[in-house]
Amino acid sequence: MERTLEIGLAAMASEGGLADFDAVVRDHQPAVFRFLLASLRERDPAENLTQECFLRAYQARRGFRGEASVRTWLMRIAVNLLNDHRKSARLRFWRRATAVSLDPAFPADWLADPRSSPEADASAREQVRAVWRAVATLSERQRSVFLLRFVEEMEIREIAVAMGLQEGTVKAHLFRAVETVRGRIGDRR
Amino acid sequence: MSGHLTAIEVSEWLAGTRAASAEQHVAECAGCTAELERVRQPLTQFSAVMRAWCAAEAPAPRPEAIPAAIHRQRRLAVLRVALATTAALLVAAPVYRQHLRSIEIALQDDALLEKVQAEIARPVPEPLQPLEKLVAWNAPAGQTGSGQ
Repeated sequence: MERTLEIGLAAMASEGGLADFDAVVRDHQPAVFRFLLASLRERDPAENLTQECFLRAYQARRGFRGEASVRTWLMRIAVNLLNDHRKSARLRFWRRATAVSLDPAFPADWLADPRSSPEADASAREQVRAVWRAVATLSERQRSVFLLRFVEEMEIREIAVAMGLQEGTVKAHLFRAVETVRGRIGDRR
Repeated sequence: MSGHLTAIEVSEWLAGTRAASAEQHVAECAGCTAELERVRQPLTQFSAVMRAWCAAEAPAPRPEAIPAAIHRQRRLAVLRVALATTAALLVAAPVYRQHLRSIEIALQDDALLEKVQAEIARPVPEPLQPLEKLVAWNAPAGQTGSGQ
């Protein structure tokens, strides 16, 4: 599917068509929105940045050479938008003033796999909540790396491209993030 | 590798750094495999929860909105340029009018100065010019009153 999209996007880049970009939006919007929502924890900015991400991708589609996958390319745009968003004092003001923040208590009720016992179920939910809280304490870069690895399930190499970092740097950030999360969930050996 | 994975090695493993000796040990050690799974489980559950939750929160994909948004952006850009031009004209117009007025005043001043210069340069003031003619009429040929 990914390969088909790459070919489609490359063809679209040369033809300037719209049809294949529809497929790109349909297939990748959920992941981009998920990454942005998990990073920002606010629905409105996440939705706006998701739209902006695809807008920029559409405008830059002729520059896409297929060197990275479409997902990696889109995530790179999303990461850049996220960085710009964080830097922008104006947007920060509006975020505080207008956006309705999501409940900081993570909705662990979305855990789809009920445990064998109520105790195990409660324990699993509590661990997920602990991860959610731990992720909030990570630095912005560690958080992005962590989310791309463990939620988006991207390879280290893809994360490096998406974030414009060396693979070794990604691994270092990921290691620190994992250490922090493990410390917070009380899971040290 | 002789012993089990340390806590740091478990984190390194999850972060993607896996030494060949560690991989070999994990492949043979049920304890370390279980430990890795135990540590990985909250992360896997976290991912599952994120996916389910974000899927419920996500807006429906609207590919058709992209070209519309681009047109809207372009219209906004044109509008911004038009507004900036109008604002510049509004600011420039009074300044330009003031500039024209100062040129007009300068020209009037020049004309007045020329008139004054002309008056000063006259040998006989304008009101006495009829008398000058009379004097010129009585004077011998080649003489005028002004020369006397």
